[in-house]
Amino acid sequence: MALTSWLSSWGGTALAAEISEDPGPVFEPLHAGEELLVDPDERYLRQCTPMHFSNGQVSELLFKQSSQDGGKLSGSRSSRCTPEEAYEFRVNTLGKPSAGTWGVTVGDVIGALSRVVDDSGSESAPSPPIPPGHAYLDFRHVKAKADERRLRSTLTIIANRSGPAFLAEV
Amino acid sequence: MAESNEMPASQREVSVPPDSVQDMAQDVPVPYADLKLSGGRFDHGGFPLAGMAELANYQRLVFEVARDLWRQANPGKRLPRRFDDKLNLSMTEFRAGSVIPVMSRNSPLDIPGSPDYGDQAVRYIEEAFARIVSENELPGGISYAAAVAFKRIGSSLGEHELFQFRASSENPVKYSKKLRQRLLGHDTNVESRDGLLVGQIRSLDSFEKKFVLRTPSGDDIEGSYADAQLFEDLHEAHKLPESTTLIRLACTYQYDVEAGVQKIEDVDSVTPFRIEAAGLSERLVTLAGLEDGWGDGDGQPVSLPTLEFVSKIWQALEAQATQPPAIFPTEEGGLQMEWVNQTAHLQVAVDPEVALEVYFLDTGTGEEDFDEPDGIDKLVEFVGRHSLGGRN
Repeated sequence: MALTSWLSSWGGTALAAEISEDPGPVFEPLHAGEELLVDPDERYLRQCTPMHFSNGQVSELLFKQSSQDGGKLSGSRSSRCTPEEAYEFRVNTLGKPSAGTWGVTVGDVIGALSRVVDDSGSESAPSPPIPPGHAYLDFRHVKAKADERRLRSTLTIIANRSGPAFLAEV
Repeated sequence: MAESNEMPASQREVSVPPDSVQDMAQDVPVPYADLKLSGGRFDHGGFPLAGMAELANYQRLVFEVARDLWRQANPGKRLPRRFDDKLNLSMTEFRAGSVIPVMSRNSPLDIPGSPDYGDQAVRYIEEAFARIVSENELPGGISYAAAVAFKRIGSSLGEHELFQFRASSENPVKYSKKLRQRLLGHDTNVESRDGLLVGQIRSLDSFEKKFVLRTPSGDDIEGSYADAQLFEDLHEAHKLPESTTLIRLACTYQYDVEAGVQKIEDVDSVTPFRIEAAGLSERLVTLAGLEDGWGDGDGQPVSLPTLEFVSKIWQALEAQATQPPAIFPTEEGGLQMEWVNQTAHLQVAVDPEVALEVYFLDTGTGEEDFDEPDGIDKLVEFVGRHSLGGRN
């Protein structure tokens, strides 16, 4: 017996209807050339500004998008780029500061109701220089502040539990 | 001022754009300095607001040079009352081509038996810049404050922009960003920076307009300030209790890339703040000194009311035996206190206007909570309700 049928059979009709109607996250269509990451063990790598790493802890601000991000939080995919390469690109090519590289798996991201998309070969890729293996964590489907807060907080717990994938020398 | 740098012999009148007098009522003072800004932003019509800093820098330079001239003629004497006030310049209009700022003095200096040091300062500055352009040399014998003021001229110029003196003459003196960089000696390790410094005032000399700032790490940095009105602020800061009260200076300082801050050249503002947060003081002081543009370039300095409020929150939480949080600055100038363990995350966010948000998530149990508490008591209650098993 399906879960929803079972619920309906003893009176949980409203909840059953809610569950059966929940379509899950409704994402934007992929652009031509974009690739959805599906290997649950692949990691989405993200650079952390030094001020958002303190006492061995990384802030949930690591996953906070800025107004320029447009719902696409930039990072790199681990199958195309090592954590150290991602760090070197940010510091040496972009000239921006970084405390190091943190990562969450694609499976973690899917579990938190989002997705990771490789846009490095698409028309929607960032303007050059493009970080190696550029991929974005998708926030565009997240409409409610509460949902965005939950997504960021979930990934923060995972990132801290995993620890840095590459830590800059101080 | 050294003999070799006495006022130039030229006693020509300050040139006046020919039709500007007609535009002003008869009782309005005559235009004052023959300046022009050209190239880049100044060729697009109107005066760019970002370029206003150049006029403020020029005003400062007139003050400093006039003071030096007065001191040279009156060694050991204090400046007359309202000396600076009488040197205040006002914009009366901007003329096209590129942009000619027409300035006037509100009143003559009018010191019995003395020349008008303001007028002399304008001419001295023109001569000095002619020498800077041709010889890359500041006038010798000028005060430190005047030297700083000379160096600030042109600080906001773009690559193709010019600050011109004697602009309406046949031989205008054209000063550029490149010439300024040559003057500042950018091939050395020392550069002039605008930014924020945090510390406590250890000594203050109102006559010489100098002070010493002791940083949280115990270094003493000598500083000077040009704006006499800052004395009251610095004096108040000097009297503050040492243990918990710090000041944040918005200032221009000499920075050695290898040795750090060497000297404070000038001060724009002085803001005191209190930190009473044992265990978190060092981090909060670090955050107080964050420059505009920290991080990726968009970070705002941390709001001092926010900083003080986080300090108070921590006092209240510490009394509940809460473990210290990690504290992070937000791009908008707020702060976040965060605790995390294997499955849960708790955060207290204080925005730059000191509005509060608290959030808790436990991915193990699915428990989630959010609030916008209207005071510290409710915040403490929230944090106490969501213990993270030793992290808070």
